[in-house]
Amino acid sequence: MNFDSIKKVKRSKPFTVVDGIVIAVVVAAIAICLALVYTKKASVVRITAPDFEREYDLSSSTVIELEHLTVHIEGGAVWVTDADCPDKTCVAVGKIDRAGQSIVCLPSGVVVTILGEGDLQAGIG
Amino acid sequence: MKKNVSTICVFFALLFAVSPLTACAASGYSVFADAAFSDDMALTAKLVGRAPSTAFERMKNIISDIDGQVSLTHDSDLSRLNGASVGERVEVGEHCYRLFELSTEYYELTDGAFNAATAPLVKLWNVDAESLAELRPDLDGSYISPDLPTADEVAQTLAYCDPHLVESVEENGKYYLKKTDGRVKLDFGGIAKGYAVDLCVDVLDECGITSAMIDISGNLYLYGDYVGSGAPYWRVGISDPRPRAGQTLSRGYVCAVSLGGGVGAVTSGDYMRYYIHDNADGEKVYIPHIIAADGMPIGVEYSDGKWMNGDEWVISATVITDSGALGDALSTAVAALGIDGGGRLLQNLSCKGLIFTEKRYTILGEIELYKPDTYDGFKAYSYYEL
Repeated sequence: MNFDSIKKVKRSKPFTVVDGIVIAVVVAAIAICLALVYTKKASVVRITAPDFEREYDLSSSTVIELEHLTVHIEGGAVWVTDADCPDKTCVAVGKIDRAGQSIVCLPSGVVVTILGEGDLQAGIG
Repeated sequence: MKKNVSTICVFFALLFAVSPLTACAASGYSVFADAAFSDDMALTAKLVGRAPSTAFERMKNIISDIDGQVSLTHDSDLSRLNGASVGERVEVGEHCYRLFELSTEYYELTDGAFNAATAPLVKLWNVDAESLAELRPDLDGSYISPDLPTADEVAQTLAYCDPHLVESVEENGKYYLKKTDGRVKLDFGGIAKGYAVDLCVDVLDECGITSAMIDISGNLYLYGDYVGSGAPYWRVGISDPRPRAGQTLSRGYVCAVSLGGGVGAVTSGDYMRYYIHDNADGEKVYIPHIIAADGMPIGVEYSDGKWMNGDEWVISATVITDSGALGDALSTAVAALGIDGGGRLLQNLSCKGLIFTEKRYTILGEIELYKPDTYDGFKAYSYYEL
Protein backbone atom coordinates (compact mmCIF):
# COMPACT_ATOMS: atom_id res chain seq x y z
CA MET A 1 0.00 0.00 0.00
CA ASN A 2 1.48 3.37 -0.95
CA PHE A 3 1.20 6.71 0.80
CA ASP A 4 -1.36 8.16 -1.63
CA SER A 5 -3.93 5.46 -1.06
CA ILE A 6 -3.60 5.79 2.74
CA LYS A 7 -4.31 9.52 2.44
CA LYS A 8 -7.40 8.72 0.31
CA VAL A 9 -8.84 6.41 2.94
CA LYS A 10 -8.22 8.97 5.67
CA ARG A 11 -10.01 11.66 3.66
CA SER A 12 -13.19 9.61 2.93
CA LYS A 13 -15.81 10.15 5.64
CA PRO A 14 -17.02 6.98 7.46
CA PHE A 15 -20.68 8.11 7.23
CA THR A 16 -22.39 10.28 4.65
CA VAL A 17 -25.60 12.24 5.21
CA VAL A 18 -27.53 9.52 3.31
CA ASP A 19 -26.15 6.80 5.60
CA GLY A 20 -27.25 8.88 8.59
CA ILE A 21 -30.80 9.19 7.26
CA VAL A 22 -30.98 5.47 6.58
CA ILE A 23 -29.83 4.64 10.10
CA ALA A 24 -32.28 7.14 11.58
CA VAL A 25 -35.16 5.58 9.62
CA VAL A 26 -34.20 2.09 10.81
CA VAL A 27 -34.01 3.17 14.45
CA ALA A 28 -37.36 4.98 14.17
CA ALA A 29 -39.04 1.98 12.56
CA ILE A 30 -37.82 -0.36 15.28
CA ALA A 31 -38.88 2.07 18.00
CA ILE A 32 -42.37 2.50 16.52
CA CYS A 33 -42.83 -1.27 16.23
CA LEU A 34 -41.70 -1.93 19.78
CA ALA A 35 -44.07 0.77 20.98
CA LEU A 36 -46.97 -0.77 19.03
CA VAL A 37 -46.23 -4.26 20.26
CA TYR A 38 -45.75 -3.42 23.92
CA THR A 39 -48.38 -0.71 24.43
CA LYS A 40 -51.52 -2.28 25.82
CA LYS A 41 -54.48 -0.66 24.10
CA ALA A 42 -57.42 0.47 26.18
CA SER A 43 -60.62 -1.36 25.21
CA VAL A 44 -62.75 0.47 22.75
CA VAL A 45 -66.42 -0.11 21.92
CA ARG A 46 -67.23 0.16 18.24
CA ILE A 47 -70.85 0.70 17.31
CA THR A 48 -71.86 0.34 13.67
CA ALA A 49 -75.36 0.85 12.32
CA PRO A 50 -76.58 1.51 8.77
CA ASP A 51 -75.92 5.27 9.05
CA PHE A 52 -73.69 5.36 12.06
CA GLU A 53 -70.18 4.33 13.00
CA ARG A 54 -68.38 5.50 16.11
CA GLU A 55 -65.98 4.27 18.72
CA TYR A 56 -66.28 4.88 22.45
CA ASP A 57 -63.98 4.26 25.38
CA LEU A 58 -65.17 1.18 27.28
CA SER A 59 -64.34 2.93 30.57
CA SER A 60 -66.62 5.86 29.73
CA SER A 61 -70.19 6.26 30.93
CA THR A 62 -72.46 6.93 27.98
CA VAL A 63 -75.94 6.26 26.66
CA ILE A 64 -76.21 6.17 22.87
CA GLU A 65 -79.73 6.34 21.50
CA LEU A 66 -79.87 4.86 18.02
CA GLU A 67 -82.95 4.68 15.80
CA HIS A 68 -84.01 1.17 16.84
CA LEU A 69 -82.25 0.58 20.16
CA THR A 70 -80.24 2.17 22.95
CA VAL A 71 -76.65 1.22 23.81
CA HIS A 72 -75.37 1.72 27.34
CA ILE A 73 -71.68 1.90 28.27
CA GLU A 74 -71.05 1.97 31.98
CA GLY A 75 -68.73 0.35 34.51
CA GLY A 76 -66.59 -1.26 31.81
CA ALA A 77 -69.54 -3.12 30.26
CA VAL A 78 -71.86 -2.59 27.32
CA TRP A 79 -75.50 -3.59 26.89
CA VAL A 80 -78.55 -2.86 24.81
CA THR A 81 -82.03 -1.80 25.91
CA ASP A 82 -85.24 -0.53 24.27
CA ALA A 83 -84.92 -2.51 21.03
CA ASP A 84 -87.95 -2.21 18.79
CA CYS A 85 -87.04 -5.31 16.74
CA PRO A 86 -89.33 -8.34 16.81
CA ASP A 87 -86.96 -10.84 18.50
CA LYS A 88 -85.08 -8.63 21.02
CA THR A 89 -82.17 -11.06 21.13
CA CYS A 90 -79.76 -8.14 21.47
CA VAL A 91 -81.37 -7.16 24.78
CA ALA A 92 -81.40 -10.75 26.04
CA VAL A 93 -77.63 -11.05 25.48
CA GLY A 94 -77.18 -8.86 28.53
CA LYS A 95 -73.87 -7.22 29.37
CA ILE A 96 -70.61 -7.87 27.58
CA ASP A 97 -67.30 -6.70 29.00
CA ARG A 98 -64.45 -8.53 27.26
CA ALA A 99 -62.48 -7.73 24.10
CA GLY A 100 -63.82 -9.81 21.21
CA GLN A 101 -67.37 -10.04 22.53
CA SER A 102 -70.12 -8.45 20.50
CA ILE A 103 -73.84 -7.84 20.42
CA VAL A 104 -75.49 -8.07 17.03
CA CYS A 105 -78.98 -6.82 16.31
CA LEU A 106 -79.91 -8.40 13.01
CA PRO A 107 -83.20 -6.63 12.22
CA SER A 108 -81.75 -3.15 12.74
CA GLY A 109 -78.25 -3.92 11.37
CA VAL A 110 -76.40 -2.84 14.51
CA VAL A 111 -73.11 -4.37 15.67
CA VAL A 112 -71.62 -3.47 19.04
CA THR A 113 -68.10 -4.89 19.44
CA ILE A 114 -65.50 -4.54 22.15
CA LEU A 115 -62.16 -4.06 20.42
CA GLY A 116 -58.82 -4.28 22.14
CA GLU A 117 -56.10 -6.61 23.26
CA GLY A 118 -58.12 -9.53 24.57
CA ASP A 119 -56.60 -12.98 24.63
CA LEU A 120 -59.56 -14.60 22.85
CA GLN A 121 -60.34 -13.99 19.20
CA ALA A 122 -64.00 -14.87 19.39
CA GLY A 123 -66.82 -16.09 21.57
CA ILE A 124 -69.56 -18.56 20.67
CA GLY A 125 -72.78 -19.60 22.33
CA MET B 1 -15.46 0.85 -1.78
CA LYS B 2 -17.85 3.60 -0.74
CA LYS B 3 -20.48 2.34 -3.11
CA ASN B 4 -20.29 -1.07 -1.49
CA VAL B 5 -20.76 0.37 1.99
CA SER B 6 -23.83 2.27 0.84
CA THR B 7 -25.34 -0.78 -0.85
CA ILE B 8 -24.84 -2.92 2.25
CA CYS B 9 -26.27 -0.12 4.40
CA VAL B 10 -29.39 0.22 2.26
CA PHE B 11 -29.87 -3.57 2.17
CA PHE B 12 -29.76 -3.87 5.94
CA ALA B 13 -31.85 -0.74 6.32
CA LEU B 14 -34.58 -2.24 4.17
CA LEU B 15 -34.35 -5.60 5.91
CA PHE B 16 -34.63 -4.05 9.35
CA ALA B 17 -37.24 -1.55 8.32
CA VAL B 18 -39.51 -4.02 6.55
CA SER B 19 -39.41 -7.05 8.82
CA PRO B 20 -40.61 -5.42 12.05
CA LEU B 21 -43.22 -3.41 10.15
CA THR B 22 -44.78 -6.51 8.63
CA ALA B 23 -44.72 -8.13 12.04
CA CYS B 24 -46.57 -5.10 13.39
CA ALA B 25 -49.18 -5.26 10.68
CA ALA B 26 -49.68 -8.94 11.42
CA SER B 27 -50.04 -8.47 15.16
CA GLY B 28 -52.68 -5.80 14.48
CA TYR B 29 -54.50 -8.62 12.61
CA SER B 30 -57.66 -6.82 11.56
CA VAL B 31 -56.26 -5.86 8.21
CA PHE B 32 -59.79 -5.98 6.85
CA ALA B 33 -62.86 -6.18 9.07
CA ASP B 34 -66.47 -5.61 8.10
CA ALA B 35 -70.02 -6.68 8.85
CA ALA B 36 -73.04 -7.18 6.62
CA PHE B 37 -76.63 -8.22 7.15
CA SER B 38 -79.29 -10.05 5.25
CA ASP B 39 -82.79 -10.69 6.60
CA ASP B 40 -81.80 -13.74 8.62
CA MET B 41 -78.01 -13.66 8.77
CA ALA B 42 -75.37 -11.36 10.20
CA LEU B 43 -71.93 -11.79 8.66
CA THR B 44 -68.85 -10.46 10.39
CA ALA B 45 -65.44 -11.13 8.90
CA LYS B 46 -61.80 -10.40 9.60
CA LEU B 47 -59.63 -11.16 6.62
CA VAL B 48 -55.92 -11.16 5.88
CA GLY B 49 -54.72 -11.83 2.35
CA ARG B 50 -54.68 -10.79 -1.27
CA ALA B 51 -58.20 -9.54 -2.05
CA PRO B 52 -60.17 -9.13 1.18
CA SER B 53 -62.67 -6.53 -0.05
CA THR B 54 -63.53 -8.65 -3.10
CA ALA B 55 -63.90 -11.68 -0.84
CA PHE B 56 -66.19 -9.75 1.51
CA GLU B 57 -68.40 -8.48 -1.32
CA ARG B 58 -68.79 -12.03 -2.61
CA MET B 59 -69.63 -13.35 0.86
CA LYS B 60 -72.24 -10.60 1.24
CA ASN B 61 -73.81 -11.71 -2.04
CA ILE B 62 -73.84 -15.32 -0.86
CA ILE B 63 -75.78 -14.58 2.32
CA SER B 64 -78.26 -12.37 0.49
CA ASP B 65 -78.73 -15.01 -2.25
CA ILE B 66 -79.41 -17.71 0.34
CA ASP B 67 -81.76 -15.45 2.26
CA GLY B 68 -83.61 -14.60 -0.94
CA GLN B 69 -84.36 -18.28 -1.38
CA VAL B 70 -85.01 -19.56 2.15
CA SER B 71 -85.85 -16.66 4.49
CA LEU B 72 -89.27 -17.00 6.07
CA THR B 73 -89.50 -13.33 7.01
CA HIS B 74 -90.30 -12.30 3.45
CA ASP B 75 -91.41 -13.84 0.19
CA SER B 76 -88.87 -16.50 -0.79
CA ASP B 77 -88.78 -19.86 -2.58
CA LEU B 78 -89.18 -21.62 0.74
CA SER B 79 -92.06 -19.46 1.96
CA ARG B 80 -93.82 -20.16 -1.36
CA LEU B 81 -93.30 -23.88 -0.81
CA ASN B 82 -94.65 -23.63 2.74
CA GLY B 83 -97.76 -21.87 1.39
CA ALA B 84 -98.22 -24.31 -1.49
CA SER B 85 -100.86 -27.02 -1.62
CA VAL B 86 -100.30 -30.78 -1.92
CA GLY B 87 -98.71 -31.85 -5.22
CA GLU B 88 -98.01 -28.30 -6.39
CA ARG B 89 -94.54 -28.21 -7.91
CA VAL B 90 -92.65 -25.14 -6.67
CA GLU B 91 -89.55 -24.08 -8.56
CA VAL B 92 -86.79 -23.16 -6.12
CA GLY B 93 -83.25 -21.88 -6.39
CA GLU B 94 -80.18 -24.06 -6.10
CA HIS B 95 -79.43 -23.02 -2.49
CA CYS B 96 -82.96 -23.92 -1.40
CA TYR B 97 -82.72 -27.26 -3.17
CA ARG B 98 -79.28 -28.09 -1.73
CA LEU B 99 -80.42 -27.11 1.75
CA PHE B 100 -83.39 -29.45 1.42
CA GLU B 101 -81.14 -32.30 0.28
CA LEU B 102 -78.70 -31.67 3.15
CA SER B 103 -81.56 -31.39 5.65
CA THR B 104 -82.98 -34.79 4.73
CA GLU B 105 -79.47 -36.30 4.76
CA TYR B 106 -78.84 -34.96 8.27
CA TYR B 107 -82.34 -35.98 9.40
CA GLU B 108 -81.39 -39.59 8.64
CA LEU B 109 -77.83 -39.23 9.97
CA THR B 110 -79.20 -38.06 13.34
CA ASP B 111 -82.28 -40.32 13.49
CA GLY B 112 -84.57 -37.32 13.28
CA ALA B 113 -82.79 -35.29 15.98
CA PHE B 114 -82.03 -32.66 13.35
CA ASN B 115 -85.36 -31.95 11.71
CA ALA B 116 -85.95 -29.06 9.30
CA ALA B 117 -89.69 -29.76 9.36
CA THR B 118 -90.48 -28.88 13.00
CA ALA B 119 -91.90 -25.43 12.19
CA PRO B 120 -95.49 -26.43 13.18
CA LEU B 121 -94.22 -27.75 16.55
CA VAL B 122 -92.10 -24.63 17.06
CA LYS B 123 -95.25 -22.56 16.58
CA LEU B 124 -97.34 -24.87 18.78
CA TRP B 125 -94.83 -24.50 21.62
CA ASN B 126 -94.45 -20.73 21.08
CA VAL B 127 -90.67 -21.04 20.75
CA ASP B 128 -90.45 -19.12 17.46
CA ALA B 129 -88.43 -15.87 17.56
CA GLU B 130 -91.43 -13.55 17.80
CA SER B 131 -93.21 -15.50 20.52
CA LEU B 132 -90.00 -15.77 22.54
CA ALA B 133 -89.48 -12.01 22.35
CA GLU B 134 -92.77 -11.72 24.26
CA LEU B 135 -92.37 -14.72 26.57
CA ARG B 136 -88.66 -14.60 27.46
CA PRO B 137 -88.26 -13.52 31.10
CA ASP B 138 -87.29 -9.89 31.54
CA LEU B 139 -83.81 -9.09 32.80
CA ASP B 140 -85.32 -8.39 36.23
CA GLY B 141 -86.56 -12.00 36.35
CA SER B 142 -90.26 -11.26 35.85
CA TYR B 143 -92.07 -13.47 33.35
CA ILE B 144 -95.47 -14.39 31.99
CA SER B 145 -96.49 -18.03 32.06
CA PRO B 146 -98.27 -19.07 28.86
CA ASP B 147 -100.49 -22.14 28.48
CA LEU B 148 -98.78 -25.15 26.95
CA PRO B 149 -100.23 -27.45 24.28
CA THR B 150 -101.78 -30.76 25.32
CA ALA B 151 -99.87 -34.02 24.81
CA ASP B 152 -102.46 -34.97 22.16
CA GLU B 153 -101.89 -31.78 20.19
CA VAL B 154 -98.15 -32.46 20.26
CA ALA B 155 -98.61 -36.03 18.95
CA GLN B 156 -101.00 -34.88 16.20
CA THR B 157 -98.63 -32.12 15.06
CA LEU B 158 -95.56 -34.34 15.22
CA ALA B 159 -97.15 -36.67 12.65
CA TYR B 160 -96.60 -34.17 9.86
CA CYS B 161 -93.26 -32.73 11.01
CA ASP B 162 -91.23 -34.87 8.66
CA PRO B 163 -89.02 -33.66 5.78
CA HIS B 164 -89.90 -36.83 3.85
CA LEU B 165 -93.32 -35.29 3.24
CA VAL B 166 -91.56 -33.09 0.68
CA GLU B 167 -90.18 -34.46 -2.58
CA SER B 168 -87.37 -32.96 -4.61
CA VAL B 169 -86.91 -33.08 -8.38
CA GLU B 170 -84.02 -31.81 -10.47
CA GLU B 171 -85.00 -31.47 -14.11
CA ASN B 172 -83.20 -29.75 -17.02
CA GLY B 173 -81.03 -27.80 -14.62
CA LYS B 174 -84.06 -26.54 -12.68
CA TYR B 175 -84.98 -27.44 -9.13
CA TYR B 176 -88.42 -28.24 -7.76
CA LEU B 177 -89.88 -29.13 -4.36
CA LYS B 178 -93.32 -30.61 -3.86
CA LYS B 179 -95.35 -31.35 -0.73
CA THR B 180 -97.02 -34.72 -0.28
CA ASP B 181 -98.85 -33.44 2.82
CA GLY B 182 -100.29 -29.93 2.77
CA ARG B 183 -99.50 -29.32 6.43
CA VAL B 184 -95.74 -29.80 6.26
CA LYS B 185 -93.60 -26.68 6.62
CA LEU B 186 -89.82 -26.41 6.28
CA ASP B 187 -87.45 -24.02 8.03
CA PHE B 188 -83.72 -24.09 7.23
CA GLY B 189 -82.81 -21.84 10.18
CA GLY B 190 -80.83 -24.68 11.78
CA ILE B 191 -78.59 -25.28 8.78
CA ALA B 192 -78.58 -22.31 6.37
CA LYS B 193 -75.97 -20.34 8.31
CA GLY B 194 -73.54 -23.25 8.41
CA TYR B 195 -74.21 -23.88 4.72
CA ALA B 196 -73.41 -20.22 4.04
CA VAL B 197 -70.15 -20.61 5.97
CA ASP B 198 -69.09 -23.44 3.64
CA LEU B 199 -69.74 -21.31 0.54
CA CYS B 200 -67.85 -18.39 2.10
CA VAL B 201 -64.85 -20.64 2.78
CA ASP B 202 -64.74 -21.46 -0.94
CA VAL B 203 -64.59 -17.70 -1.62
CA LEU B 204 -61.67 -17.32 0.80
CA ASP B 205 -59.81 -20.04 -1.12
CA GLU B 206 -60.42 -18.27 -4.41
CA CYS B 207 -59.50 -14.77 -3.21
CA GLY B 208 -56.09 -15.61 -1.84
CA ILE B 209 -57.08 -15.07 1.79
CA THR B 210 -54.43 -16.54 4.07
CA SER B 211 -56.00 -16.03 7.48
CA ALA B 212 -59.60 -15.29 8.32
CA MET B 213 -62.28 -15.48 10.96
CA ILE B 214 -65.84 -15.39 9.74
CA ASP B 215 -68.98 -15.50 11.84
CA ILE B 216 -72.42 -15.95 10.36
CA SER B 217 -74.93 -15.47 13.19
CA GLY B 218 -72.97 -17.60 15.63
CA ASN B 219 -71.49 -20.05 13.13
CA LEU B 220 -67.79 -19.36 13.47
CA TYR B 221 -65.15 -20.48 10.99
CA LEU B 222 -61.40 -20.14 11.48
CA TYR B 223 -59.47 -20.13 8.25
CA GLY B 224 -55.72 -20.62 8.07
CA ASP B 225 -53.40 -19.72 10.91
CA TYR B 226 -54.14 -16.92 13.32
CA VAL B 227 -51.55 -14.18 12.77
CA GLY B 228 -51.59 -12.18 16.02
CA SER B 229 -50.02 -12.98 19.37
CA GLY B 230 -50.47 -16.64 20.24
CA ALA B 231 -50.25 -17.58 16.54
CA PRO B 232 -50.87 -19.93 14.87
CA TYR B 233 -53.71 -20.95 17.20
CA TRP B 234 -57.09 -19.32 17.46
CA ARG B 235 -58.59 -18.99 20.93
CA VAL B 236 -62.35 -19.12 21.22
CA GLY B 237 -64.42 -18.66 24.34
CA ILE B 238 -67.63 -20.63 24.88
CA SER B 239 -70.25 -18.51 26.64
CA ASP B 240 -71.37 -19.88 29.96
CA PRO B 241 -74.99 -21.06 29.63
CA ARG B 242 -75.57 -20.40 33.32
CA PRO B 243 -76.68 -18.31 34.99
CA ARG B 244 -79.32 -17.72 32.34
CA ALA B 245 -79.73 -14.35 30.73
CA GLY B 246 -82.29 -12.61 32.85
CA GLN B 247 -80.79 -13.85 36.09
CA THR B 248 -77.69 -11.75 35.59
CA LEU B 249 -76.50 -9.17 33.13
CA SER B 250 -72.94 -10.40 33.01
CA ARG B 251 -71.87 -12.90 30.38
CA GLY B 252 -68.74 -14.93 31.03
CA TYR B 253 -67.08 -17.89 29.36
CA VAL B 254 -67.44 -21.41 30.70
CA CYS B 255 -64.14 -22.30 29.00
CA ALA B 256 -61.93 -21.38 26.07
CA VAL B 257 -60.46 -23.64 23.43
CA SER B 258 -57.36 -23.35 21.28
CA LEU B 259 -57.99 -24.30 17.66
CA GLY B 260 -55.92 -24.68 14.52
CA GLY B 261 -57.27 -23.29 11.24
CA GLY B 262 -59.67 -25.06 8.92
CA VAL B 263 -62.51 -25.70 11.39
CA GLY B 264 -65.89 -24.30 12.18
CA ALA B 265 -67.30 -24.05 15.70
CA VAL B 266 -70.94 -23.54 16.61
CA THR B 267 -72.89 -23.76 19.85
CA SER B 268 -76.55 -24.56 20.49
CA GLY B 269 -78.26 -24.32 23.84
CA ASP B 270 -81.01 -22.67 25.82
CA TYR B 271 -78.95 -19.52 26.41
CA MET B 272 -81.55 -16.89 25.56
CA ARG B 273 -84.31 -18.72 23.82
CA TYR B 274 -86.57 -20.15 26.49
CA TYR B 275 -89.53 -19.19 28.61
CA ILE B 276 -91.05 -20.31 31.89
CA HIS B 277 -94.39 -22.03 32.40
CA ASP B 278 -95.96 -22.41 35.84
CA ASN B 279 -97.46 -25.90 35.83
CA ALA B 280 -100.61 -27.20 37.56
CA ASP B 281 -98.69 -27.59 40.82
CA GLY B 282 -97.21 -24.11 40.61
CA GLU B 283 -93.77 -25.46 39.74
CA LYS B 284 -91.57 -23.54 37.29
CA VAL B 285 -91.07 -25.45 34.06
CA TYR B 286 -88.34 -24.15 31.73
CA ILE B 287 -89.26 -24.45 28.05
CA PRO B 288 -86.15 -24.27 25.80
CA HIS B 289 -86.55 -23.57 22.08
CA ILE B 290 -85.00 -26.82 20.80
CA ILE B 291 -87.58 -29.46 19.87
CA ALA B 292 -86.52 -33.08 20.34
CA ALA B 293 -87.60 -35.99 18.10
CA ASP B 294 -90.55 -36.75 20.44
CA GLY B 295 -92.06 -33.36 19.61
CA MET B 296 -91.33 -31.83 23.03
CA PRO B 297 -88.82 -29.10 23.84
CA ILE B 298 -85.64 -30.63 25.32
CA GLY B 299 -85.87 -31.23 29.06
CA VAL B 300 -89.68 -31.11 29.03
CA GLU B 301 -91.84 -34.13 29.76
CA TYR B 302 -95.47 -34.87 30.49
CA SER B 303 -96.26 -37.04 33.46
CA ASP B 304 -98.95 -37.31 36.15
CA GLY B 305 -101.15 -34.99 34.11
CA LYS B 306 -98.74 -32.05 34.13
CA TRP B 307 -95.76 -30.67 32.29
CA MET B 308 -92.46 -30.80 34.12
CA ASN B 309 -88.70 -30.64 33.55
CA GLY B 310 -86.61 -33.81 33.45
CA ASP B 311 -83.51 -34.30 35.57
CA GLU B 312 -81.13 -32.73 33.12
CA TRP B 313 -80.91 -31.62 29.51
CA VAL B 314 -78.26 -30.16 27.26
CA ILE B 315 -77.82 -26.46 28.02
CA SER B 316 -74.83 -25.97 25.69
CA ALA B 317 -73.56 -28.15 22.84
CA THR B 318 -70.54 -27.03 20.86
CA VAL B 319 -69.53 -28.89 17.71
CA ILE B 320 -66.15 -28.42 16.07
CA THR B 321 -65.85 -29.79 12.55
CA ASP B 322 -64.59 -28.78 9.12
CA SER B 323 -68.08 -28.62 7.57
CA GLY B 324 -70.16 -25.60 8.50
CA ALA B 325 -73.49 -27.13 7.45
CA LEU B 326 -72.85 -30.40 9.30
CA GLY B 327 -71.66 -28.57 12.43
CA ASP B 328 -74.73 -26.33 12.42
CA ALA B 329 -77.13 -29.29 12.13
CA LEU B 330 -75.19 -31.41 14.62
CA SER B 331 -75.14 -28.76 17.35
CA THR B 332 -78.95 -28.82 17.35
CA ALA B 333 -79.06 -32.61 17.05
CA VAL B 334 -76.67 -33.09 19.97
CA ALA B 335 -78.76 -30.76 22.14
CA ALA B 336 -81.87 -32.72 21.16
CA LEU B 337 -80.29 -36.13 21.79
CA GLY B 338 -78.84 -35.39 25.22
CA ILE B 339 -75.34 -35.82 26.63
CA ASP B 340 -75.15 -39.59 25.98
CA GLY B 341 -76.90 -39.81 22.61
CA GLY B 342 -75.39 -36.57 21.35
CA GLY B 343 -71.92 -37.53 22.57
CA ARG B 344 -72.10 -40.89 20.84
CA LEU B 345 -73.28 -39.25 17.61
CA LEU B 346 -70.21 -36.98 17.63
CA GLN B 347 -67.95 -39.94 18.36
CA ASN B 348 -69.45 -41.95 15.49
CA LEU B 349 -68.93 -39.06 13.08
CA SER B 350 -65.42 -38.31 14.41
CA CYS B 351 -66.45 -34.74 15.24
CA LYS B 352 -65.14 -32.84 18.24
CA GLY B 353 -67.40 -31.24 20.78
CA LEU B 354 -68.18 -30.07 24.29
CA ILE B 355 -71.55 -30.86 25.85
CA PHE B 356 -72.91 -29.36 29.06
CA THR B 357 -76.00 -30.21 31.04
CA GLU B 358 -76.86 -28.31 34.22
CA LYS B 359 -74.90 -30.91 36.20
CA ARG B 360 -72.09 -32.31 34.08
CA TYR B 361 -70.03 -31.91 30.95
CA THR B 362 -68.16 -34.11 28.55
CA ILE B 363 -65.53 -33.46 25.89
CA LEU B 364 -65.48 -35.44 22.65
CA GLY B 365 -62.27 -35.75 20.68
CA GLU B 366 -58.92 -34.10 21.33
CA ILE B 367 -59.64 -30.52 22.32
CA GLU B 368 -56.97 -28.27 23.75
CA LEU B 369 -58.34 -25.99 26.44
CA TYR B 370 -56.91 -22.49 26.57
CA LYS B 371 -55.97 -21.05 29.99
CA PRO B 372 -58.15 -23.48 31.96
CA ASP B 373 -57.19 -21.66 35.16
CA THR B 374 -58.60 -18.38 33.85
CA TYR B 375 -61.61 -19.69 31.94
CA ASP B 376 -62.59 -22.06 34.68
CA GLY B 377 -66.38 -22.23 34.48
CA PHE B 378 -65.94 -26.02 34.32
CA LYS B 379 -65.77 -26.03 38.13
CA ALA B 380 -69.53 -25.67 38.30
CA TYR B 381 -70.00 -28.94 36.40
CA SER B 382 -68.71 -32.43 37.08
CA TYR B 383 -66.76 -34.20 34.35
CA TYR B 384 -68.56 -37.11 32.73
CA GLU B 385 -66.65 -39.69 30.71
CA LEU B 386 -68.78 -41.07 27.91
